[in-house]
Amino acid sequence: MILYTARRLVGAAGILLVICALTFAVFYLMPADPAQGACGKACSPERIAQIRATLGLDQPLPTQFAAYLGGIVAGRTYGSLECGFPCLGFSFQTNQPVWDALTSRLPTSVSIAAGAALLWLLVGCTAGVVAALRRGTVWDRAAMIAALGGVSLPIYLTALLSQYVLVVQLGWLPYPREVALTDDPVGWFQSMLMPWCTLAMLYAGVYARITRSEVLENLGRDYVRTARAKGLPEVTVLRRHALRPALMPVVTIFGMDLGALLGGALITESVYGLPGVGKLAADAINSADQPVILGVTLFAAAFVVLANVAVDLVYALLDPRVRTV
Amino acid sequence: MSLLSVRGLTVDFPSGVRAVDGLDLDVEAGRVLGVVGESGSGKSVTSLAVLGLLRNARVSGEIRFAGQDLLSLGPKAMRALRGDRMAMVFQDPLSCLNPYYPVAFQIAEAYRAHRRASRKAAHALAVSMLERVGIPEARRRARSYPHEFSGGMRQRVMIAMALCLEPDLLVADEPTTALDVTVQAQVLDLLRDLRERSGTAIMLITHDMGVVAGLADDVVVMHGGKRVEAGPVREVFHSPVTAYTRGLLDCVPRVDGPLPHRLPTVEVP
Amino acid sequence: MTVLPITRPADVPPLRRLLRQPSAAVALVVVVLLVLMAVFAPLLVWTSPTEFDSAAVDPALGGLPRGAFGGISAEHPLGVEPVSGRDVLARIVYGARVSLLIAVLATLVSVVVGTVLGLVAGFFGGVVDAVVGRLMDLLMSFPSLIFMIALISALPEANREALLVLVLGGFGWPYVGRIVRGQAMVLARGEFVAAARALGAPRRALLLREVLPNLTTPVLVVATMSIPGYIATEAGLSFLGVGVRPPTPSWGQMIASAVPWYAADPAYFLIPGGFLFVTVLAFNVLGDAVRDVLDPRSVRR
Repeated sequence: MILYTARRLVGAAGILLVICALTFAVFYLMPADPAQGACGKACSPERIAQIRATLGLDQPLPTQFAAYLGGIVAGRTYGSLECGFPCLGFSFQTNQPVWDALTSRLPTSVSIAAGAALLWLLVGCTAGVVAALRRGTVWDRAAMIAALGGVSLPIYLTALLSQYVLVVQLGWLPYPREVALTDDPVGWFQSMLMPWCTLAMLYAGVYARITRSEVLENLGRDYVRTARAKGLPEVTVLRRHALRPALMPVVTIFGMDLGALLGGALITESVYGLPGVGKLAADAINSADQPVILGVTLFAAAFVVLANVAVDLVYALLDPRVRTV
Repeated sequence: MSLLSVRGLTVDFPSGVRAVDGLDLDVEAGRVLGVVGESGSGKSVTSLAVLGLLRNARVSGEIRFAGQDLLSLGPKAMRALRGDRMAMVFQDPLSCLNPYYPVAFQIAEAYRAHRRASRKAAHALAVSMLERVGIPEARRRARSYPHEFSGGMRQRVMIAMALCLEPDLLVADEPTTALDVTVQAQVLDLLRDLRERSGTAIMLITHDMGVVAGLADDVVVMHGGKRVEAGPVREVFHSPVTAYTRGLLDCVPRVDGPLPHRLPTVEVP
Repeated sequence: MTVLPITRPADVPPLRRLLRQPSAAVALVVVVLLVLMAVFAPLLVWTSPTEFDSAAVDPALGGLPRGAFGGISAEHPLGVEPVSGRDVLARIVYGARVSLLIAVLATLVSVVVGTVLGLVAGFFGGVVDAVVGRLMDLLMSFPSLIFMIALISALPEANREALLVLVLGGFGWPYVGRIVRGQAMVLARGEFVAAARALGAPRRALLLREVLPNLTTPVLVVATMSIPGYIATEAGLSFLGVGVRPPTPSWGQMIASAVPWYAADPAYFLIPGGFLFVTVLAFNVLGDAVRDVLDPRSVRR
C-alpha cells in the first residue's frame, strides 16, 4: 500500500511537470509579449528591454523554464525584487506575488466548492438510489426528469435565473458577497447558498443518473441473489451488497469532477462577483496577466492531479481487487 | 412425509414464457434428489421458486417444506427460512460471492442473519466451516477476498456458507458446471461426504447424468418445464420409460461400452 | 419440444425503436427544427443580426428596449438588445448556426482523433498503447476549462470559431479514445479476429474490416452524447468572453452581454438562455435514447 501510494505520487509529479512545461510553453511562446504586458500600453522600448532583462525573458526558453521551476521549489529574485517560496512570479496588474493572490482567494473558492460538493453528493446520490430502488415509479421518473434538467442547465444560466428570481424579484436572499465564516456565519450561509445550489444543480443531475444506473446494475448481480439466499434482511442486502459496490464508480467520477470543479467555480464566481480563485483567473485572462493565468492553471492542475491520486488511494482502500494487483 | 414436496408448480414470466408447467417432485429428508434436464427445461427456475428468490414471476401450485406451505408465507417468514433451514449453492461461485468482502465475513454474515452471535464468534465459526470444506490454512485464508481463490476453492466457500447453519435442505444449482473436470470430482466428493456426515437433504440441479449417477438417490427428469420421468436413480437409469430420458442417457459417453462414431442427439418426444 | 417465440429487440429497426419513446421523438423533432433553423437562417429572418436599430431603444432609460419584455414587437418578435437595438431573433437564429456548427465539428474532430488513436492503441498494444494511454491520462487530468480559456485568450484573435473547434475537440478526444481503446482491445482478442488472422489476413485488413465496423455503435453513442456538452462548453467559453467574438452572435455570448441588464431587462437573458437550455436538453434526451436503443450495456453515462 505504501509502495502503491509512492508510485502514484511519483506519477502525479511527472504529470504535473509535463503540464507545467506545456502551460509555460503556451504562455511564453505566444505572440503577446509579457514585457509589454508588464509595462502597460504607453511604454518606451528601453523600458521594455529593461523589464525583459529583469523577468529573464532575454534568456533562452529552457533557462527561463528552469528558473520558473526553481522559483516554485525554492523562490527566486527578479532583479532586486525578492519572490519567496513558492514563487509563481508577480502579477502584472497588481504587482502582488501570484502565490499570495492565490492563497488569499482560496477560502472563498473552497467555501463554494466544498459546500456545493457536499450538496450534490447528498442530493444526487440519494435521488439516484431512490430512483433505482423505486424503479419505474413516479419517484424514479420525477428524479430522472429533474436530473436531466439539471444536467442541461448551464451554470451561468442557473446563476442568473436564481439571482433574478430569489434576489431581485422575491428578495428572499441578499446579493452574494464575500463574508468570512468566522465573522458572520449567518451572512456567510446566506451568501453561499445560491452559489452552492447553482454549482450543485449541474452535478447533482449527473450523480443521480450515474448512481441510479450503477445501483440498478448491481441489483442484478449474482451476489445480491446470494445475499438474499442467505436470508439477509432486505435492508442489509441493499446496503451491503448493492449500494457499496455502486459507490465505486461514483468515487472515481467524484475525483475527476473535483478537478473540473475549479472551472465551474470560475463561472459561478464570475456571475456572482465573488472574489475566489476563479474570479482571479477570469480577471487575469481579461487583462492578459500572464503570470497569474499561468499560476492559476498550474494550481488547478496540481489540484486535479492530487485529487486523482486521492481517488486511486480511496479506490484501493475500497476495492480489495485493486490492492493485490 | 417428504421434507420438500412440490405439487403442480407453475411459473409464468411477464414476457409470457411459462418456465415451469405443473411440476411435481419430492425431496425426502436426508436423501439426494437429482433434477436433470437440458438448459431451458426449467430446473433452475424451480430451484429459485423453492427458495422464493424469483422476482417478477407468477408462481402457483404448492411448495411444502417441512409441512409449511411456502407460497403462502410472507416475505419475512421466507427470509427466516432461507439460509437457515434451506440454503443454496449456485453455479458460478465467482459472480455469486461479493468481491468487496472477505470470504469469512460473507459466511459469518449468513450465520448472523439467523443466530445471535458476536462478530468474533461468527468469524470463528466461519473459519471452522472453511476447515470443514477443506480449505487449507483456513485461519489465514478466511480474511482473503474471493478473487484470491481458485474456482474450486470458491465453490467450497459457497458450500461452507450454505451449510454454516446446518440446513435441512441444500439446493445446489449446477454446483460443478463452472469448474474444471478434476475440481468437479473434488466438489462432488465434498458434497457426498457432507451429506453423509450431516444428513442434509440435497436437491441437486444438473444437466450432467454422470453427476446424478454419482451422488443422487432419486431423480426427476425435466423437459420443457414438465416432469417427464421420476424414480430412484437405479431404476430410471436402468430402464428409462420415456424416449427422452433414454436419449439423455445415450448422450453420456461411456468408458465401458463400445465407442460410437458420433454421440446421438436427443430426440424430442 | 416446444419452441418459444423469441422476439429480439434487434429485429425492429433502431430508428423505429427510438421513435417509440415519446420523449425521444419530441427531442428528435426539436433537434431537427434547430438544425433546419440554423441551415435556413437567411430565409427565416430578414433582419441582419448585426444591424443596429436605435429607434427600438430608449436612450433616456440608458438604452433599455422600448416596450415590454425586452422590446417585443411585430418588427422584433423576440425583442432587441439594449443599447444597440439589434434584433434578438436574428441573433438567436444566426447564433444557432455558430453554436451547432462548432459543436458538430468539435465532435467530428474528437471522434476522428479518438477513434484513430484509440484503435491503434487498443489493437497494437505495447509501446503505442502506453504512449497514447499516457497522453489521454494527461489530457483528462488537465483543468481543461481553465486551460482552454487561457489558451484561447493567449492565441491570436483571428478565426475564433476554428480555434474553438480545435480546442474543444483536442480536449474531448480522450473520452472517445478511452472507449474505443477498450473495445478494440476486447475485439483484437476476439475469436473472429483470430479466425481472420489464421486465414492470413493482413493487419490493415483486420483493423479496417474486422475491428472498425464493430466500433460503429459505441462511437456513435459517445458522439451523440458529447454534442450537448460541446454546445454548453462553447456557450460557456463565449460567456466568459473567450469564445465567439461579437458581432458574430452566439448564445453564450448573448447571455454574457445580458449580465449587466439581468435585473432591468430579464427577457434579454431568458430568451437565449431558454434556447440554450432546450437545445442541450433535447440533445441530452436524444443521446440517452440513442444509447438505450443501440447499446444498452457497453457505454454508460
